Amino acid sequence: MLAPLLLLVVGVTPAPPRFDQSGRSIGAPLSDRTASYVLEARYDPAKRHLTGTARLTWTNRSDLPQGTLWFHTYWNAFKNSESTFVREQRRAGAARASTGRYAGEDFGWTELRSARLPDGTDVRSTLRWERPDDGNPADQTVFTLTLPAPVPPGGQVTLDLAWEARVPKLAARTGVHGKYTLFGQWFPKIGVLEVPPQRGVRTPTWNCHQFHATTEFYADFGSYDAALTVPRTMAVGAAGVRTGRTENPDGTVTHRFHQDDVIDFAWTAWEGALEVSDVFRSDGLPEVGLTVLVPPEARRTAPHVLAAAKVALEHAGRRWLPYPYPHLTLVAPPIGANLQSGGMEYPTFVTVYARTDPAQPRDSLLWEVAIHEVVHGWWQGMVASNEFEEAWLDEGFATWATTEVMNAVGLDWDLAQFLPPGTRWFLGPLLRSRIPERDIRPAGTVPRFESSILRPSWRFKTGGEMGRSTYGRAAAALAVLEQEVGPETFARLMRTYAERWAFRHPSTDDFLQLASEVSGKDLRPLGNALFRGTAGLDDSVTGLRCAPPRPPSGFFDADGGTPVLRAPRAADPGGDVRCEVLVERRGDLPLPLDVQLTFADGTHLRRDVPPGELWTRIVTERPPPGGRVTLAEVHPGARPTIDTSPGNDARSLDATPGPALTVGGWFLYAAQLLAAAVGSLL
Amino acid sequence: MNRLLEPIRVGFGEWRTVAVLLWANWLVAGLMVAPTVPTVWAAFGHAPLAVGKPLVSSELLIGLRPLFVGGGTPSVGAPLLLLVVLQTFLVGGVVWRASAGGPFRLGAFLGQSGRLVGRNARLYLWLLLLLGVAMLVPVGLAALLHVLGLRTIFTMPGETWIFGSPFGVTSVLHLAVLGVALALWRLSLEVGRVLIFRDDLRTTRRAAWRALRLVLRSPLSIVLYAVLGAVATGAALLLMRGRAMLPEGNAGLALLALGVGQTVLWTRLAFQVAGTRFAAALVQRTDAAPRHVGHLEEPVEAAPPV
Repeated sequence: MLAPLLLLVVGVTPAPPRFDQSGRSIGAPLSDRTASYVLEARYDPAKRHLTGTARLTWTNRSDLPQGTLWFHTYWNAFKNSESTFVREQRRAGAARASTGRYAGEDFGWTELRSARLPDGTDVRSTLRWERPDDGNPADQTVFTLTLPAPVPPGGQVTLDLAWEARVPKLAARTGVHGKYTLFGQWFPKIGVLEVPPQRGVRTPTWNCHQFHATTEFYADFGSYDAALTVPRTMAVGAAGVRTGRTENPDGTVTHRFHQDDVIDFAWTAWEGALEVSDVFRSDGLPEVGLTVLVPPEARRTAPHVLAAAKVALEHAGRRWLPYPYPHLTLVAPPIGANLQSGGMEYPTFVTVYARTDPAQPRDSLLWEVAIHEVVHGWWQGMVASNEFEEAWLDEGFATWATTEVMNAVGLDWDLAQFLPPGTRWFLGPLLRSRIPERDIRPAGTVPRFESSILRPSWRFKTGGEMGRSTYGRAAAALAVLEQEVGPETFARLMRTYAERWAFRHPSTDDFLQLASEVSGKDLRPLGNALFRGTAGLDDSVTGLRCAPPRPPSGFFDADGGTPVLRAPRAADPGGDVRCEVLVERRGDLPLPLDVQLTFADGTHLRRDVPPGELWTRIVTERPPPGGRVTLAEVHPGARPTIDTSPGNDARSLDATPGPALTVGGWFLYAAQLLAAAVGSLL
Repeated sequence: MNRLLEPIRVGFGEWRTVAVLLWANWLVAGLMVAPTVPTVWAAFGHAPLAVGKPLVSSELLIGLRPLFVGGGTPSVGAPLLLLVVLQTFLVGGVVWRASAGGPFRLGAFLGQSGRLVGRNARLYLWLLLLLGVAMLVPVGLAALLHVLGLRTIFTMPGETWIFGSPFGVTSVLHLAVLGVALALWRLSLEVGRVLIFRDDLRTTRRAAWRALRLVLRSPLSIVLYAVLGAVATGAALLLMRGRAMLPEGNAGLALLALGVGQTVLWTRLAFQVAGTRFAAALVQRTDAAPRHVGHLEEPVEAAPPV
């Protein structure tokens, strides 16, 4: 009774909810619920042991009978040093993958004990390990089960899976760190049967990749119901809505959660965590309950995370699609577990970062990560792309969207905020800055000779290249499309994309097709160059000089045709001044390249560099003094966001010693301090 | 208090000595950054979009990495090697100034430096052994604390630097122990140099041993020397903060910043001289070391009359 009155007072009228308070959809399902699970798990943290059962209900959406079902057992990536995940991590590195430092007891595994059909038939004996990506015989992250009778087209099968698992030491979003355990990809999970025309397949095809060091995930939508039993001392946060809590006689507690129309279910069990709750309310948007779990020593993280989550929910809800789920849990891991488990997205459950001493009033690191993970709720949570094969569709989108939100709230990067407490007072002034997120994005990339953005994540040269390409470079590429069609059209495109592809599985081609449809321009060539090519961009003015034209010298034909030596003469002081401008393009992105020259008399000259040319020289001859080119610029007023070095987009005739002295001065100062430090040891 | 103030007065009063050390610092630092000059000028010498921007900006800092992809990065190894040679050479002159005083003459400074360079180098190598032994204390303490579940800045997870607070009670205490261990080593080195200068010792192993004994007999000196180091660090940090607070963006401000930066270096080097002076005063005060050592210094009986 009070709630409506309160809403009247504060003037907020939320939109009708799409789910009830138990996480069940109101009205028609939002997704086709191809794979639904009823999960039960019991966790013994002392033994790092998990016992689980899952009742899986799977629908065959194809027009062919399916007798063999494909599954992931992600935790076997942590089983030993020979798994594909650990091998790749050793070879190419990957963020959040510290498995290379695992020793004996650190490893973990999943073992399927039984897989029973409703009639009691156990098909566990048909288990066959598959290695579709690299043939590594030691890898056990994908298996198949063969049914006695295939699932008919449109038919359903229910399987009761029972498994046990050893929880690994924390790595790659999963495992134990002290009294904190994060459960991601923790149950045997069915792959995705892609059905034509889904993502371009021509026949029904299982998409079920091994767990690689650099890949994330891909799953069908469904309903998840979970009963999680843990010692009473542990707090539990999980995807979905909490539907119950039962104290058991053996000193454990069973926590129940439910959520319809999601693609995954993750949770944490954490002794000593603080729980902070809040509600997101905004006119015309559904209410979202918020829960943050933080370590006590970093309790001051919670307000930052909640505020960032709210601005993300507000912005994304209005720009793309209202957030339909009734609850969102944000986990800020304990100090020491942030890099391995912070910054990960699951539907209605994300991990962020925790800091003991956040910068005030807005800690850009905490805010950026929280915003990024929350907007993943749209880009991959609802618009459920294939993160194995097209990681840019979620990471690039989420990075682009993070920039949108940060711009909307006027939040830039301040590098001084990265400093540890105790050093900020004297090092802070050194690093104090306001660097827009959009400038950070392409900075780590080098134009040309990087792998194409669109490729399976495990086929990048290194983990670093994968990260650069699918996050910053992809986001910058999206911004190029935005510049190409204009902000209003692009906003319409993103909203249409979210509306049309929510609760489905789009591909890059689907996005480019829609982009062309919404913009009325064929964006596929540019899109293919951006995402399928090695295209990059650094346009620059590399030369500008002016001088009087050199007077002719040498032999010239006289009247009779005989060559006659012409004596050298001084330049005509009243003659034209000749200016040469050299413009270069590093990269092969097919974007127009226009150049503007500014003359001393204030007039301008615009030139277009022919498409495909990597450089051009522009020569002008005009009478002095107004005829001197004082400034040459590329892309005047509209720098492409993918340009890696904005500083070289213009060149002046006069020297600008300020920037050179600033950079050189810092170099010298740093070298002096280094020499003094080393000298003090001698 | 005077045991601290007097060396500091001498350190800052020896401005010509400090100028020589600063010259050596400039030489080494200049060689480090010289390879970057053409690249930096080519990139920023005619860059109107970068005018008025501080170092930490999209136009300057963000563009630095691609700038050096093709080479032109600072050189570090060879200049630091030169620094080792220069510092080992000049330290003899510094000891002369800190011990003897009197008017400064560059020729005499260099002469003393040249006279003592070999012995000072050998002394340093001997005292590296002491450094190794002295470091066993903080290393052992760190291991013990680790076993007890307590963290030092060397054993805490790397992410603590960003997400947590590296300076807790335990880590600061451990740093203090490390500082005292370093002070013991460094003061022994300084005292050894003074002894070599004062007594013209040839046997550097014996000088090292005498220096260590002298220092160990005066634990208060170790603490005071550590305090002197802390004061030097604090003063340098304060000036560095002032340097960092300067606005940036044009040539004049950049030059001003460079000038203020020199005060940081000047202070650091003046405290270096002060440290040597502290050691010289310690030697003078304790008078523990005999003026002559070894068998050559033992009294020789007069020859019987013929």
